[in-house]
Amino acid sequence: MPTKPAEQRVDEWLSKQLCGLMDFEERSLGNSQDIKIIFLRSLTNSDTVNRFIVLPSYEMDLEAYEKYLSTFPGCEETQDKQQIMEFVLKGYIYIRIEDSSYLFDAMKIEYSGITSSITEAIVQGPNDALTENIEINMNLIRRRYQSKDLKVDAMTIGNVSKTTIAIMYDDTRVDGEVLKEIKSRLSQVSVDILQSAGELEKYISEHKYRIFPTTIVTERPDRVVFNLSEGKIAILMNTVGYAIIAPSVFNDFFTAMDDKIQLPLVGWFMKMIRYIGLFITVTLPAFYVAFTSYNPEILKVQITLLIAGSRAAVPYPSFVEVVFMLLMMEFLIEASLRLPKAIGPTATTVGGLILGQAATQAGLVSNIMIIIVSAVAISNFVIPLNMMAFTVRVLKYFLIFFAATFGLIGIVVSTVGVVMYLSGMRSFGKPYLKMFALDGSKGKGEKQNG
Amino acid sequence: MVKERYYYYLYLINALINIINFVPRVLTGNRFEGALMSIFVSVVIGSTLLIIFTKLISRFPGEGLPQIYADFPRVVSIPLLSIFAILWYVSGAVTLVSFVDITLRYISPDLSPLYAIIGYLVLVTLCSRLTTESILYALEITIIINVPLVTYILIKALFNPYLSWDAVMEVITHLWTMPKYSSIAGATFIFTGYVNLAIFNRAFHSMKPRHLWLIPVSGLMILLITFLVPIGYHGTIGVEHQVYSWFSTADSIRSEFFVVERVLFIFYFTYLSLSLVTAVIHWHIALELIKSFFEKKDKKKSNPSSGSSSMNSSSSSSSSSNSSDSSNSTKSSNSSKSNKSNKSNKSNKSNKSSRDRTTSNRDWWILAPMVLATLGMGIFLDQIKLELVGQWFLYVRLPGELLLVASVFAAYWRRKKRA
Repeated sequence: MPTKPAEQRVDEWLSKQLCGLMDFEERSLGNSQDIKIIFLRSLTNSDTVNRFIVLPSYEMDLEAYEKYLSTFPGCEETQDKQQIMEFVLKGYIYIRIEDSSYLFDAMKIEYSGITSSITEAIVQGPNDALTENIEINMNLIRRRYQSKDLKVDAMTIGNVSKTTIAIMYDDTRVDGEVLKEIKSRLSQVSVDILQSAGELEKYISEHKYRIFPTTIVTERPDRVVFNLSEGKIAILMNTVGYAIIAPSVFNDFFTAMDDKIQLPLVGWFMKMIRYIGLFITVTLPAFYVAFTSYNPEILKVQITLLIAGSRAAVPYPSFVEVVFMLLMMEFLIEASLRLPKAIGPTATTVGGLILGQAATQAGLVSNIMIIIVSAVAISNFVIPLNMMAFTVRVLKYFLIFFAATFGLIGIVVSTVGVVMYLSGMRSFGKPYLKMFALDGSKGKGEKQNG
Repeated sequence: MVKERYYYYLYLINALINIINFVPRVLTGNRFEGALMSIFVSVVIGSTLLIIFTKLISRFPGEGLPQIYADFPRVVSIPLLSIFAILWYVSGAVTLVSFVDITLRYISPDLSPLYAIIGYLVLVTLCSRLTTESILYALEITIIINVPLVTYILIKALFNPYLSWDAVMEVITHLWTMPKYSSIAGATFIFTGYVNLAIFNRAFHSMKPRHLWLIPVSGLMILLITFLVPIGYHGTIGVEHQVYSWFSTADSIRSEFFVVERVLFIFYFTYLSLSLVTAVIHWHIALELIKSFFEKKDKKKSNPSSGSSSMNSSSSSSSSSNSSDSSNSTKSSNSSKSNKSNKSNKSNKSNKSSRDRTTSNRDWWILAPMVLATLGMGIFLDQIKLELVGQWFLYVRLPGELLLVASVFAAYWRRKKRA
């Protein structure tokens, strides 16, 4: 019999490969000890192993046992060494019964339960956040999107981490070209370890050096569902509590999930507030530099005098003042982010009181500068999605630089430049910045009719 | 492919920008010699040309001027394209250089003209290499942000008690005077936005703009305001002392309840962004026209099979956007075309990056002389010479426009005869 030696080689090979591991288990079962199981203890659920594999092996004969095993949904027969190794490392149990070998799903998965979302809090509406388990995430999404058109394609990325990712899309609404593009980019990703959505986002996006995100990374299943219904593609990852949504355009980053809940007029107002916030946080420091150092005559005389009076004690140019204060603010944000909760409030007290109050009294910065810095910080927090909020934090230095070198003209020219740059960007073939971004979908419908 | 509203933006930006390109200067110079009459004449001429050209170019969906001229022998098409490329280049350059002059005069007298022009040129050259659709999207945003401000300034200007209606009425009494060519050439400039379709037609799927009557009506209004409001502010005689009469007009208006008191500054920044976008549009067209000389050679050399003439192979992003756009309409008529272009994309993928690099290098080689010439203009042209150049551009532009319409008509006729 040619198969038998080969067969034995598989389980001997397997135990040889794994024998050094602390949690490696190899057992012979059954009344006649004909059944051999190999598994890793840390990855398998011992209760499942005892109840469904060990106990029945003594209660029935070999043939019945084999039939019994093959009725389990997570059980399959295979001879492929490589596959067996992979599955054992995932938490499957390798079972050999005479000639045939089976893989039995006894995975033990530890994850934190469904919590409410932290990074994208909203006032009213669903609070569930995605978990670190892909099955539960798919459950969360499928429960909200009960359609047969919701397709899921699975893939594995990472030579070592073997992270399972699922590409979800609504078959009837998705743009086939975009889907193909995303799949081909995903298949080209070659890394050892993949542990966060941000990393994957970086690998699949077009340009390496860019500051605007072209995909949303979200932890809200309702946002995923909302975007799926708009024909977008969601990428879920195992062991990561975030989903990637592509293609995402500029306007998507200014949409909070509350907008749907609010009354339409209020919703528009909120959106307008966000864009005004964006404008203020990006341009206000630059305008301060330009007005104080280049074109004080543009403002009303009273305002000019007010600023000049408040700056009277400041010994250096406005550019230094602005960069100094903004850097302090960045440090404050960064510090309060990483600090343990117990000493978090100290940072704000020290920063807010000492920097704000004492710095003006010492004449290091002007009073108006303090107001501007707080306005910039507050309006930056208005942006609902973190990725964009971070981008905007960087963007304002770019404008400050041009304001310091060219004055007001620099601000206008660089603003036009940013608008041009954004209009030139594409997110998986979709124009990134476009007025009335919604009419893209309407236009598509019209074209198909006509 | 974009929607038809972008057609109006192309018209509107030219209509708004006329103030920078010395149109009010030409008109006020002839205010007693038939400028008003020439406005009415040019509304007729301008909108007729506009409608004819729009109808003609709608027969070539998705094609730019180089593709339309493909039927002509190269001896005819290359000189024609060169003339138009130069005209478009000069149009952008005059806008930029006169804006540098305005900047120094009104905003930053202590700024070196070289700095200002380098700043503008960096933006314009970088942005003119974007894809045609991207420029249209940016144009839309700029227009929608700026038009409310322009409207605000206009309302402020028209309801100002210091606007002397008597001066306006006096100029109106000179209505029945034979117009001069120079003022007609100047006044038709505001309708010239349509010629940008020569390249921007590539982005349009079908061109059947509705509400075309809006264009002559709004054009007439804009021309009358352009011409009469400065006269109302500066007087019938005083107006001729102003080179940029509209900037002086804006400087006469005060906004009492806003942080910025002098309307001039709002006006200046509105027009700065508008004229930068115009310059980008015009230079983009000049660049694309010049690039088409080389593209033909490339096509003969590398892939004669690719029938996707409408694809501008300038950058990878443009081709991907085009293919995704055409995939939306695979069910419609041009499915075969999009398939072909996709196939050619795939076959080109291997040598795509190297070709991208060569085309990008070529862009820079074309843009370099344009930039240098503009720098030279910025340095050597003083205000009087610049004004002369601006006026000469306006005079030459009208025959150029007629030539463009005639040549496109000839191309259409040739194609029809062959079919």
